[in-house]
Amino acid sequence: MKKMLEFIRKKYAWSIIIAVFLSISTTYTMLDAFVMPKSYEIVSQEKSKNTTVGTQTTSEVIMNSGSTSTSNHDSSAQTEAVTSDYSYKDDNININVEKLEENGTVFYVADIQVSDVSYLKTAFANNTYGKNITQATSEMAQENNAIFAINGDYYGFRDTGLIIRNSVLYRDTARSSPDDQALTLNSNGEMQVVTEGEVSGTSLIDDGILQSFSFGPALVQDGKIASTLSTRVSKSANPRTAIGQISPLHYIAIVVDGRSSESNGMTLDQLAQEFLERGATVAYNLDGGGSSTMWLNGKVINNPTDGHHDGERSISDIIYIGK
Amino acid sequence: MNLKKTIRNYIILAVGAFLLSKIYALFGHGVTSPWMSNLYLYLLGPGALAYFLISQLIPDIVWRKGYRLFYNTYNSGIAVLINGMLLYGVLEIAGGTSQIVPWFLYIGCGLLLTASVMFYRLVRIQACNIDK
Repeated sequence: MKKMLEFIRKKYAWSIIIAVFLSISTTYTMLDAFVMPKSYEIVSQEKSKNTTVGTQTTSEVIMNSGSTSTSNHDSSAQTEAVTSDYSYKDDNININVEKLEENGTVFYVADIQVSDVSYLKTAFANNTYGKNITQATSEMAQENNAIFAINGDYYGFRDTGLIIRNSVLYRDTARSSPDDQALTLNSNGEMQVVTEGEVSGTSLIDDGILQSFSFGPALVQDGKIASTLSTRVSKSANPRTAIGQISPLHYIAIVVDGRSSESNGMTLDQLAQEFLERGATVAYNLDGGGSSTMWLNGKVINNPTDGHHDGERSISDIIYIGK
Repeated sequence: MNLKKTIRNYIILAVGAFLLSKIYALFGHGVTSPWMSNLYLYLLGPGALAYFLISQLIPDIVWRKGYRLFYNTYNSGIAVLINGMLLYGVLEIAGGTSQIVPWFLYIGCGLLLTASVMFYRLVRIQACNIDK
């Protein structure tokens, strides 16, 4: 104790103590925010079954045109799926992806029509709800037998934000900004933008909300450019991922490549415009940058990059179309 | 206590913080954070400017008993606050959040508040001595 008091009285002792405190606390904070995985809940098979439509086995036959015919032996119905590099079609799911290039930007527009909302699903990395638990979009898509997948909202990088997945409320903490909005999907297949904090997660579950995504901002609301968009940082062109709806069970997903010599990326305003031109009534921005990934029929079809490293980034969650 | 040296150190730190925010912005792909870009102002204002005012208005206060404790507490408060703001900025640009970072602000503000009380007492003691 005496030695400690003597040390504290020394000229630079205080500075050393503060420097050590700041170094340790900063390192811990950065590790906690970016690295240390924390598992809060493993998604049970029971929860997954709630949204599964039948069971299936799949066999593939390569066809002359380069397209593939897939037989899905569904417990409810037998369907013949026709697939190509940019499309998938069966009795219940119709996906067409267009690869477009405008003003030096390459982007992919997926037009998705499903017969039932249960075909639009979500999955967590390693089937676990938690923080810093990550997996590549393609890995999650394969593990969940997805037909089509895009990256989600990367909920696991934040401690706040409304998270409902497959009818389970995982997080009901509103983000700090008053205009932070979440996208919800209800049991009729309708998407709606809600302001976090104004509605509780429990009431949304009671209202039949199946999924919610917490990133934003909203791009399109009621068939118009969202009013909150102008207040957001939307001037920089970046890789983007967004999802929207034309009508219930008819959705559009857009993934934009960027930060590369091949593609500049899009501003949020440009992205909102793309949705409007396609007749979207609702559209919502998801996690972008290096996370932006679109996966169809077993492969990644865009070029994900964060500007420094090419290839898929490991993320928390995906939105996918699957049976 | 050398007030000029303290002011000079705060100005150097403010310039460093300004450069850091500009360099960080180059890698932020257009995403910026007011926490990060205004960091240098907090070093200039509560740091350099506060000590400049002390040096101009009450320079003798540095010789009073208890000034060293105020000096350490005040500088520690600014250091913890600045560190918290830097972390806020890094996380905001990356799009993340942390429940730990607000504690830097609470602790920093706590230290600054404590230092303010100490400073008030120092000024009061000096004023009483002048009256006598």
